[in-house]
Amino acid sequence: MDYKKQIDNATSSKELDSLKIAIFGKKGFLASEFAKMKSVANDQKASFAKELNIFKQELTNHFEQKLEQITSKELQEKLENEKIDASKFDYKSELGAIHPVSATLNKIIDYFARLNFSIEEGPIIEDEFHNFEALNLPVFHPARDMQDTFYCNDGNLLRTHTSPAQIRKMENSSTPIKMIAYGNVFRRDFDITHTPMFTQVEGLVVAKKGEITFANLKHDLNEFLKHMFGDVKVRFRSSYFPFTEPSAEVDISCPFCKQKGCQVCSKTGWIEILGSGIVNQNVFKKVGYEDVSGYAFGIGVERIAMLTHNIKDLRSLFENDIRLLEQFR
Amino acid sequence: MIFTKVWLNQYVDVLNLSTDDLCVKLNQIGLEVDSLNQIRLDDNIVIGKVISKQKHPNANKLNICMVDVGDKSSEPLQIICGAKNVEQDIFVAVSLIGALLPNGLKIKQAKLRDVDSFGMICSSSELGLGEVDEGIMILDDSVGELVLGRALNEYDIFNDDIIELELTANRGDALNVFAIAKEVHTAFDMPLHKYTLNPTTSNKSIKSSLKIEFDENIPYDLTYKLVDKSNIKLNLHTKLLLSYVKQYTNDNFLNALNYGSHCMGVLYDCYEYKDKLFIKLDNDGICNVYDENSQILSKPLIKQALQTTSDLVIVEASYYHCDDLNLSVFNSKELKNKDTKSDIYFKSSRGSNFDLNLGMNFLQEVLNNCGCVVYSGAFSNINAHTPLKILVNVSDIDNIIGKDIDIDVMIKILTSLGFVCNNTSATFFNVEVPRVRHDIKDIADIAEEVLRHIGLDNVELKPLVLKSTNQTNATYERHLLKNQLKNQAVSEGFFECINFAFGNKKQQIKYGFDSFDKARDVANPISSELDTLRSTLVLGLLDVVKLNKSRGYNKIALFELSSVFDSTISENNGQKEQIAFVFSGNKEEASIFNNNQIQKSDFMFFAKKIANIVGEFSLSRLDNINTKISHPYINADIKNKNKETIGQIYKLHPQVSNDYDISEDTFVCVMDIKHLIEGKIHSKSKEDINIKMKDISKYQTCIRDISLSVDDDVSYGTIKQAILNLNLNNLHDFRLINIYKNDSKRNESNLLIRLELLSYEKTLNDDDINLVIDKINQGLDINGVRVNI
Repeated sequence: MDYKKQIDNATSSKELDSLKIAIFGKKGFLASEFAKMKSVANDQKASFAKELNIFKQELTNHFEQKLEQITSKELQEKLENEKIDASKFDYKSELGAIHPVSATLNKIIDYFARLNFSIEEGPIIEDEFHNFEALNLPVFHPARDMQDTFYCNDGNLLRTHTSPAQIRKMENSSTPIKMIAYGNVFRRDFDITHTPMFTQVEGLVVAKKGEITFANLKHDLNEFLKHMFGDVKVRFRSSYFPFTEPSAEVDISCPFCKQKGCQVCSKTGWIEILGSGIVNQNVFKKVGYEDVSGYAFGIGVERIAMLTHNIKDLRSLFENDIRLLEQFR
Repeated sequence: MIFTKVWLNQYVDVLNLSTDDLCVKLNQIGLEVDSLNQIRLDDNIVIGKVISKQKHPNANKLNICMVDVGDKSSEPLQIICGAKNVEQDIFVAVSLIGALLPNGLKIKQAKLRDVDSFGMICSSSELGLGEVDEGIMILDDSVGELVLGRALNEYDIFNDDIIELELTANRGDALNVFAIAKEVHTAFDMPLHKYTLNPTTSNKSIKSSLKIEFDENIPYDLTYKLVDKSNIKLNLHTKLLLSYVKQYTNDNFLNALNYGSHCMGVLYDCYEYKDKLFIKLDNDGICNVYDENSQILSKPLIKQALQTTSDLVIVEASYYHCDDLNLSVFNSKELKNKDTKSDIYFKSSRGSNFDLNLGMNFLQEVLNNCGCVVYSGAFSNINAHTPLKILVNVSDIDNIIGKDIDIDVMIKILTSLGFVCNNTSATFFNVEVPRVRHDIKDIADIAEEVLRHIGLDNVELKPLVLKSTNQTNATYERHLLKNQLKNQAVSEGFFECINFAFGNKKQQIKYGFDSFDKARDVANPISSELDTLRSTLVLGLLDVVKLNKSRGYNKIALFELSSVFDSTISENNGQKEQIAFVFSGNKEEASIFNNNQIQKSDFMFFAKKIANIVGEFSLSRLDNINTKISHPYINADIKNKNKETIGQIYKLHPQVSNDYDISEDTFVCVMDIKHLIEGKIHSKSKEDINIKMKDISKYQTCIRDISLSVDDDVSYGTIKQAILNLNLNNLHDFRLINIYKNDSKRNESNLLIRLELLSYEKTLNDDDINLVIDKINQGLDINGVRVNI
């Protein structure tokens, strides 16, 4: 059969499309064959129709087969043509980044928020009372010297620590208090290890007399430091701060050299990380609290960021060089 | 505070302790070890005796010395020495051939101007001991029995460990070796050697040679003695100790005072002999020393006299109570801001030793040992003192520390530290605080003494159990919302910056930013460039753009969220929080995604990024353009849904980008944080601030574009508002999708606006849609705007 051959010879779905019309279309070959029915003798019509239908079925099957074959071949070709080299996805991140000091601060805040500490902020421009006097730093204390504190011309000052926020909180609420205060603080110092502005987080817990002890402080800071630094040893050293008594400085075992001795820990194996203590009763007196006990601690956020991210120069944190920042994507 | 193990060993046997153990313990008890410096000498540095000395034939300044180093099997060593003080019969330190000096020099056999030299006679500085004599170091038996040939490092003083402590501000009492000994004695439970004083009493009396008159009511303690120092001589041991602790001077009398002071913590000064001295208070309540002509001889707090030129010297011991002194100085016009204050001031202000009687007796013995004669008798002004007594309830201390401590342990520690304890019952005892401990004032101080010495490490960890209500507050919500904002900025490619909160007043004025009245400028800025509090985040960010451009970046996107100070706000001293964005340079870096077709950034691109970060807003012409920083025609106010201005957005003025040497395509956006987050704080708002879902239609949205011919001086904002005002039924939304210039008419553009049409009742047909367009056509009654049908 001629059409069968034509179907066999077809090479594209386009050719098949025109063949379909030529064979199966309204004016196609089969239609004209069926039209011949009219001229066929009545007694032969049934067998003519039967044969023709068988022939039509054969031709249809043949066509469908071929169509499937061609479609599949063509799809295969199309897909092959679409082939890509995925390794050309040579993507460099276009994201910005959170500053490592912010990221570290967030980590600290998250930790204490989960322990149901309230999160507080205070004003940057403070008065002498909240920054010094209420914190048991009498007028003649050396820390109030012009050398350390930035003063405004109107006699106010830039807070030298976030502790005034603790005083403000105590002035406005009753015990128990569980809080941290965070923010920028200012000291008149600018060298390799000091910048005139840095970030601090301070914690304060106050409850009834006898409820809060040095052992609690030790426990809570120990947990916090393990959260921040992983498996480090924590050491408490007796120290002095006007607003706490007893006071302790807290060290962690050097995470860089595992206490073998390196530059970061000045070969001591220990790194000083924060200051803490039992709140001095004079501080409570200033805010009118009686028969209470409490602990307090202060953390330098830049220092933690430097230690956790291996940043060597404090000042580089305030340069905002993208080559540093983009590492924190 | 610097001390050495040998010095400390005079009072407590520390030479048997390892220095590591000593340092660990000092750290634990709150005496922080700042540095450790160990004197270590080579075995080949030995004791020798100069048995002869003759001039070098070819060099004026050199001598040929024969030195006995105790080697009986060979001749004395011939050593060339250039020191002026080399003499026959003196004992010296000899570095033998092969010895390595601390400065790295290795001793070799040498020829000096044709004469052989087999070693070197050393000065103290060559041995790393500091400079205690001019020329070579002459040994005496104060260092121990001098045995020829014995290595110097067999003597304790040449094998000493020098420890520097960084004392906390409250421990002025520990600025002397005896106080450190007391701490070590307590910490290690080792006996403390009591010093015995046997000063020689002179038959010369001070009263016949000197008269001192005190003003009445001098609140400070003073004692004066008269000393004949004509035969003063200091032994090497003392000189070396002073050198180790950096207190050695060229004046042996001052050395003796320094030594005495460093042992016991009593402060001394000295004056040239006068037969009369007057001690008076000045107007500030500070006491000064005057002669009979009312000439000031000394203001001890500013500059000590330290006069030693005469053979007869008046020695003064003084004690100022630290709190009183600090208050007087604070109130004194003369002293408050004076940069130079004396050593006496610094030590007194931290708390020196009050016991002038002990101090003078101790010093007298030191001076006797140095060959001085101390006249009998003294002039003194000593004030009465009531000792501080504290009643200690044992459970109070247990409650502070969080550990039950035996009363006997407490009493043992305190007694050992010099407190006088009186055991009244099993739960209470009385404590009399030693007067040198100015820092001990209440029960918490006592608890700290106990805690230090039982060891902070020995307090077990106890979790805090405290019932408290939910502490979530607006500050915390604000913090989270700010972080959300920051994270959005990060996903749009912006880097967070942190700049100092200071500003440069001159720059702020130059670029048209608000500047504080003088009252809020920094009175004592750290540099002239940071002389005020910043009123804008923009200038700081431009500095950062500049830095990064100079480092090679051509696409720079930065933001900062922080406080600025606004002089128009009185609340909170003008402090408010802003977020500022800067985008500078190209839209993107070259990459495979743009096939190296890099486009410059533009205003619309920047504004879209900002909207992606802070949420949808509209822009309208700026009301108050600061043309010193902003491009005069590329700028806008940012309005929220309620048409409130929440910020500004602009292209940087080309003059400014030129000043900063950054790309001209630099765009800036500044917003007040309160506008962005304040409405989203749950704990603060009394109203329900949750988003409420509107019904959504079941039917299909139809799209239809209309074209408007618009004169160039008509703002799209006007058209948009006019369409909105029509309040058209079924007009769900619309937006500008294209602008093209009408070629035939120069001052006219065609705007293509896409309409989204939607009904809640049915699928819209052509008639419904045409109805909406007809209404726009009829209703849009603006001069210079025509709807193209």
